[in-house]
Amino acid sequence: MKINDGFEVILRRLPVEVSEDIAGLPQDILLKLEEIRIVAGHPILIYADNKEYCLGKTRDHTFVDNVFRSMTDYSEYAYQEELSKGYITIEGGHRIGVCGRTIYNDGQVLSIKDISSLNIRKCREIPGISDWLIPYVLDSEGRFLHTLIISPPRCGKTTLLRDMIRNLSIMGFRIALCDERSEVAGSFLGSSGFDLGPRTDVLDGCPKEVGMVMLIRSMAPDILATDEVGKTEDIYGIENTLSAGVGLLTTIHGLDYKNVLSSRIGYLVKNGVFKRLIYLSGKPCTGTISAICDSDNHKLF
Amino acid sequence: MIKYLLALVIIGSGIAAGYLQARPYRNRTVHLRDLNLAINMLEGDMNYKRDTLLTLLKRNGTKIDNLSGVFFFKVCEKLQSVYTYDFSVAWRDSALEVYGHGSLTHEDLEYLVDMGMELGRTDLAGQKNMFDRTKKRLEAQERAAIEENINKGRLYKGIYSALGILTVIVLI
Repeated sequence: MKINDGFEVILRRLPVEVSEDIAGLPQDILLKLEEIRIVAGHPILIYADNKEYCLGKTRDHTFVDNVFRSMTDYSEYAYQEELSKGYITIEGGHRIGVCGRTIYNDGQVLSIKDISSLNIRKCREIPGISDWLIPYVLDSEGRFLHTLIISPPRCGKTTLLRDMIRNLSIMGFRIALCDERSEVAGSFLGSSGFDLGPRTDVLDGCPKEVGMVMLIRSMAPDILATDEVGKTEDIYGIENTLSAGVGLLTTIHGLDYKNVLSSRIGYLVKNGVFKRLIYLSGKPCTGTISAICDSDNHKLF
Repeated sequence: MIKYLLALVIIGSGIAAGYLQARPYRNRTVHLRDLNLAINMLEGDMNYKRDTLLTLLKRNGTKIDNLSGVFFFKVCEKLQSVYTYDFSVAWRDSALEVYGHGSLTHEDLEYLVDMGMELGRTDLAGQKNMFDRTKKRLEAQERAAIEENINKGRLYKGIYSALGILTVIVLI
């Protein structure tokens, strides 16, 4: 398996002394690196393969602010909407969680200022991880079955989704990807940062409830893929997809079946809309597929 | 015949010297006008396209065929050449490099450098306020520069031309 991480995008935006420290870490840590956490008043923490590594001296608030400015390409306004949700996605699909003082008005977070901590989550492409499970998401006539990938955060949902899209696209399915957070495709200036196959169309940065409907009308896909459903508004997009006869491939945060049933799309799962439920776990390592179930949550694998 | 030719040369030199002396005033109006236009373009693109500053400066730097285009390019160059080079520092250094030895006054430069302190640091509403303030300041500078160009420019041209004629009269 080849690991394409585009990690230099992150290193380029970090101060030289930090990027040199990180680049100097052993190769196996770099390959498995998942997160870089920068908190004002504390040293930088690096997470790789479920282990924590501490990097150098304590960093002050100015340092965190400088890294944030560099991550946004000195253009906070360009990330305004994402920032109001608490994160930004940079070139290559890497997501950066942001904490600080929120600017709150009319029941809405407008922005975050006085940045106090950053969580840089490395985005990875691991071609081939979904090869063996593709037969599970197709019926006997080779038609795609609505599939939901379920896992807690940091278990590799997006990485698996990305590879499934690539595989299905190569197999001949026309796929439309609604990439609200620019994480799946890692789009930058119109080109996708990852290999999503030859038949994948990407609508980047568009809210799912709008984007899913747009894609059905404009791109006539066989499968509509999207990451992290769960908002009330997403249901509108999902229902449109289902009524249009388009296959749905999506992910949701959750630990188990019960957890998903209590989510906003719980009734869809309960009614057996999703014919395949793929459970991911972080044990023994990130991206472990713990089960593949049918619509009644009966284990197929 | 030589005498007349010499007289013409002296008068011509006087006029040329006047133009040379008045040129900085003219240049200042041109630079300020170009800067205002470039800043307007930057603001328009920022509102409409919401690309990052690097992309906007690079794109506008290519489109604009004058000193403000060079300035935009210089900022990009500095930001890309040094890791996490502070934006306001890159902006200030580029402003000083491109305009520092030219015709802009200390005050013009100060307003331009001030803009770099806030550019990109806030949301769109904040950026709009910053653009409005900078444009107002630079437009006022431009009006003052036009007036200065008319008054002092004309004065220098007049004085040097008169000096040329006077020299010719004295020599004759």
